[in-house]
Amino acid sequence: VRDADDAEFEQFVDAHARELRRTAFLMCGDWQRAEDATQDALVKLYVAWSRLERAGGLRAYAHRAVTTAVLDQGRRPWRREVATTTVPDSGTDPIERVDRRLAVVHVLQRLPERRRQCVVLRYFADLSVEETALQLGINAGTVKSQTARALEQVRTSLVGLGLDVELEELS
Amino acid sequence: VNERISDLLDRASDDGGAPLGFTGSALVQQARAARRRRRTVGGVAVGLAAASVAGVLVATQLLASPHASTLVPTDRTSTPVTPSVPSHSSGPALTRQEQSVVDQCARAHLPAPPVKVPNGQEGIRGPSVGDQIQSSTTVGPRATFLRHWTLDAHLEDALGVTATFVNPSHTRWASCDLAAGETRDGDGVWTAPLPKGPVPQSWYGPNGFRHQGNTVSWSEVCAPGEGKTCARELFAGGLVRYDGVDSARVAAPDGTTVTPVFGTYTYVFRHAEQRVDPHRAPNDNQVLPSMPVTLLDGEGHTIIRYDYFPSYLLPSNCPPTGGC
Repeated sequence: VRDADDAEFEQFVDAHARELRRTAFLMCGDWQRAEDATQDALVKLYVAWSRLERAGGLRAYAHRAVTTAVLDQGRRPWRREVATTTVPDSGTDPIERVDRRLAVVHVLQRLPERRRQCVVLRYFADLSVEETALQLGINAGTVKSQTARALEQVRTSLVGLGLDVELEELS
Repeated sequence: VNERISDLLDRASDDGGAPLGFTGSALVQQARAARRRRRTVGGVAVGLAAASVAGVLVATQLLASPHASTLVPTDRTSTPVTPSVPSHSSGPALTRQEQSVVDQCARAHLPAPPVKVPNGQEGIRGPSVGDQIQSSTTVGPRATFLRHWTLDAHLEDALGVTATFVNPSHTRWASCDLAAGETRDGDGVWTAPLPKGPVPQSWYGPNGFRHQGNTVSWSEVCAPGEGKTCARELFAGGLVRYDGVDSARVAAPDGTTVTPVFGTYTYVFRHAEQRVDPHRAPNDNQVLPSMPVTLLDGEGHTIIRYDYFPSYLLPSNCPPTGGC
């Protein structure tokens, strides 16, 4: 990667890293893991930087890379190891669970991976159906059906938690 | 309530403006270092293919030791790359004293997990919806997992032990604080995510909770026959080191400058002194004496200065003894 590319990459990080960290947070519900995953994704992005198409696809690619990094992170064995210890700052703190904002995060974590990716990329990263399909390597119909099921599951779960929420966008 | 899913997600992921723990240039350096590491580790792997079993064992121990942290692929730029002071431990080669510290801490207890209690019962009120929690027991399970973590830094004296540990993937750390010979309130082990990046300029994390591990414990040191207020007191702490921090100076209440012991990721100190304020109440539900710490880089320049009691950043115009 040349110096000019480095400068361009650093500008991209400055402009998008926080948004990417928020995407990662929605995927995993833990700010520490979100920050780790964002770093992982951006390092991979840097390695591929000179080969990436700049026109429009870069941001979508980065969001997809972050969601993938979160899922990869979740598959590492040490995450299971951590889950067995009783830690004071666990993401499942009962205080947080009942908070409306964190209830959404909690519900998202219960979605299957593909549905969670679809709903986060579509409604937080604001990718189109076609962009989401391209980034996830699935067809547009699958994006639509996975997103619709995800939204229905989110709505049902939030209501189940006692939150009075109707989701306006169901497709 | 009819809401847009995009609005729900936007609010759910509100980071409160918390700064990132990395920069674009740091990531560039990290990616370049990763490329170099891949080449280095690849070279080691080729060498090992032809090596004897003994050689493999030595290499494994080297890769497992904290001194080889720059060779471990899971490392990040935000971890201290070149610790100037060797850490006190490595998994395969603990001294008898280090093993004793690990054993003591592994027998200690974690805090009790919180449990939800019905409204109307005594508990701690939640931040937004009035939910309540309380501890189900006075202590949690024993911290036996520490036997598989790396002892990062420790100090032991006649009054007890203060030690820090880091998990195998360098993502969590644990602090262990024990009194010698007997249990006292506050003894035990707790763990937290290992913060990444430079020393934070705010003690509040993105979730709004206070950053952990930025204060130290206090206890009285009582001689037989002493009354409620004992003549000596102990200050001890295990704290995160952060990037670029090479050493620290702690200004104790009696005027002594305490030099902490540094591990790869954390540092510890213990300091016992004659009680400076003889009238202070014999418990820690009171204002403890100012105890400023200065974190220094490799060239001895001040990175940040803050006070353990109370835990806030010190303005530059504060006197070196703190207390402003």
